[in-house]
Amino acid sequence: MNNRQETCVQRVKVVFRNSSGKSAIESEPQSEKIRAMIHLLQKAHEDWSLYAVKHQIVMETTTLDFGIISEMLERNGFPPSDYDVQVEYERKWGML
Amino acid sequence: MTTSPSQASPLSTEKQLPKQSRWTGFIGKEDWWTVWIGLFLVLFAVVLWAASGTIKVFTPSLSTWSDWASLRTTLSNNVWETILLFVLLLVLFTIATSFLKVKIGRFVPGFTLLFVLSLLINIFSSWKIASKYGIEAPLVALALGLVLGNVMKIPAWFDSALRTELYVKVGIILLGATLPFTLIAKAGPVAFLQATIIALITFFVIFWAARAFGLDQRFAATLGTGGSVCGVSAAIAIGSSIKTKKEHVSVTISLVVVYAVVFIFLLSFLIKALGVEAGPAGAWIGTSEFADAAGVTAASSFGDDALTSFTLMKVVGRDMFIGVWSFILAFISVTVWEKRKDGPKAGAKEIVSRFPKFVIGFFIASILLTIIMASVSDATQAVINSDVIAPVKSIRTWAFTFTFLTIGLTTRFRELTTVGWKPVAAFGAGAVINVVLGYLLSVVLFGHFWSDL
Repeated sequence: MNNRQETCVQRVKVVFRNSSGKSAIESEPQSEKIRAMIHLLQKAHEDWSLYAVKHQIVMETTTLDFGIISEMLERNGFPPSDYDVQVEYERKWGML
Repeated sequence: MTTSPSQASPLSTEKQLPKQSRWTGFIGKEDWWTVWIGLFLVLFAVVLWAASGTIKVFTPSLSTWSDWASLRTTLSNNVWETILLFVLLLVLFTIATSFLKVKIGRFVPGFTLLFVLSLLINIFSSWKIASKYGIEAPLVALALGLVLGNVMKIPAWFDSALRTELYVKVGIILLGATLPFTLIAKAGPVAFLQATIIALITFFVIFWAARAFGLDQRFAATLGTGGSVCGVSAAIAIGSSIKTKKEHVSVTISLVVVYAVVFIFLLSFLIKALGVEAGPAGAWIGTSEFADAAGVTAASSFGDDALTSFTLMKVVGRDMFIGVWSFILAFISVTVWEKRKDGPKAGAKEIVSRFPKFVIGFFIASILLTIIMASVSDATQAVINSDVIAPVKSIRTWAFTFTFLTIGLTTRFRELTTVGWKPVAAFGAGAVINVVLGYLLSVVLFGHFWSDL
């Protein structure tokens, strides 16, 4: 067996939501904070999908580990209460 | 639905972003497609019967053959049925996989080859010599797939049609249509009790063994659920819920795959050697096998009764509780392991979101046919048995044959992750306990229940 082979895909979503139920980006002062986090993550990594679901903004990638993302945001002064890092594993193609 | 970073950068309002519908999952997830395909086939069979037709025209019925002449006869009697079934399944699976972003140009030739190989396996299983000497077609298909998959390089176009989970779940939903819901309700509590006893013991054996070997808590929990609940599906669900490291999920999946394939042969051998009856045999496989597809392969070798008790044990007793396991472990992860006070908490929505969707299809199919059967006369029930349930069972056999072949063809040992001795030993300890307890509960304690079902 080969230690370079991985048997799963890690899909990471960084979800920004507004606790008041309003649109995530249109409520100050949260919007500024969200923009800053998005900017930080985009600067650190290029391969992101960015979209909106209901009142949430979602950044999604399969090419950056979730541990690095959480660490980077915390190191830059964003506590876990400002965002939600969600991890979804998928079996790699053809796995039983 | 998504945008590139360059498009997204000048973000001033959420309205600028592409919207993703909350309903995307219904057409973007393989699990939901198994429900659509399985229920479509069941409804199609019912509608044809209601219109005084039958889905039988789509189901070849190969007779037992012993020489070239009888083989030629049975094949020539089933030419149109075989072609119609191929076209029906090709259309359904092509629609599904196109939504799953598989290239149609690759899938169509790949599925065609898979269908031809499955036809050869079904021809083999109706060979008089094979049944005389107890050569089991599912095991032959699996072995053939394993040899081909590990010796040859499978071309990408064929690889695109090898979707074990899609085929086995469609097969299980079709199996639901052949099981009265009263039987599921009768067996459910025993299956749940037996599965829960063994799952809890196996989980804690693996978890504590892994912890004793110094492995990380999350890795230990992922290994534990992979070995006790439902294999790879459990490993990825729990790994997601408790945020296990990617390399640890990878190792767990590799272990599940290797143990599952080995257990197909080991359990089949033990059941034959110990002379276990079909009902308890299926329950034992349902208790001790790690993956649905691997369990279906082993249980199919012992006939319909084994397949029924396997499904009741595995699907009703184990698979449908994966969400509950995810919720409990996510809660422990956040509150005990992380001791986190802020940030997102583990929510009971895990139970709903991680509920395996194909189980919904399995129940709907069973309830639908049970209601129809209960509302017609005895004479009509006989017609439904012949024109709806029997052909649905035949299509199910084809779905399972695709499964046997794809397990072998996709289990490529060179592509698995290297595993150290600690996870192997922890997982192995749980597997041994699981097999012994599975035998004691399925054969010794509840043997009569599973035999009389």
